Amino acid sequence: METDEELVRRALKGGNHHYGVLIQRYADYLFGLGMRLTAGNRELAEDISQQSFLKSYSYLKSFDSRKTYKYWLTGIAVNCFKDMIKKEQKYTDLEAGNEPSYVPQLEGNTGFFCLIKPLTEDEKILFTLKYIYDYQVSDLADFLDLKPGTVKSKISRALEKLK
Amino acid sequence: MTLFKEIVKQEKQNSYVQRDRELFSFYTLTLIAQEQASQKLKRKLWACLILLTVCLGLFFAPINQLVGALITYLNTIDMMGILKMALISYGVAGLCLVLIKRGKIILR
Repeated sequence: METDEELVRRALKGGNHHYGVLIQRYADYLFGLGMRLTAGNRELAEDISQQSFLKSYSYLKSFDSRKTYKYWLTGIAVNCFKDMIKKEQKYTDLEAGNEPSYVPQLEGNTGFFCLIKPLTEDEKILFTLKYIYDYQVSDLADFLDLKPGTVKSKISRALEKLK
Repeated sequence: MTLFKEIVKQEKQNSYVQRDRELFSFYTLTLIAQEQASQKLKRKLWACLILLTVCLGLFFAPINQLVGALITYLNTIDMMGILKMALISYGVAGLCLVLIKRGKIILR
């Protein structure tokens, strides 16, 4: 089986089908991360995973092979999630009035989704990546472009909220 | 806190599966190819635009006058004068280099 780094190298040489292998390899992982961050919104989770793959491909040249592809992809997915939330907030600020709105169907483990419901978006990301995916504080700081101290305080604030 | 740990443990065991992974991969690759094609087209359009501007510029420019002016300018050039100037400037540049090197040695 080819390694991720090898596939990235081949995709950069012009073989898009090699990137297809990477997509198939991490589709479920990114979808799962999206589902957890969006509290079970399948459509949003699919959008996040697709946007992450598209962004990852356009920045593939800047992929640093000292870190794993999965780690790099996680960082991109986190940024995609934040961008989507920003976009959504932009649109929900408008007066919706009595217009019918789309209510997404939620799936998955509702216990976990109810647990993280009171958290802010940043706290949701930190909590999910730390407790479900077992990432270290330094990794989380890297993903969200924060200082490790800020990450620690945000996590402890999130835990306080969950008590 | 035990409930919290239990929920997290349960969620860790939970796995989410993309509806149709192959179709998803195919669709994403199609979007990538589409993006690449649009970028190529944009680049080609820019090249065509620049080429067209240059061609139009040449077409409207008074070429005969320009060529005539160039020929008269080339006729007035004094080759001996150019050679003298080149020799003097290379000499001055060499002198400057020697002085700079000596200055460095003295400073050491």
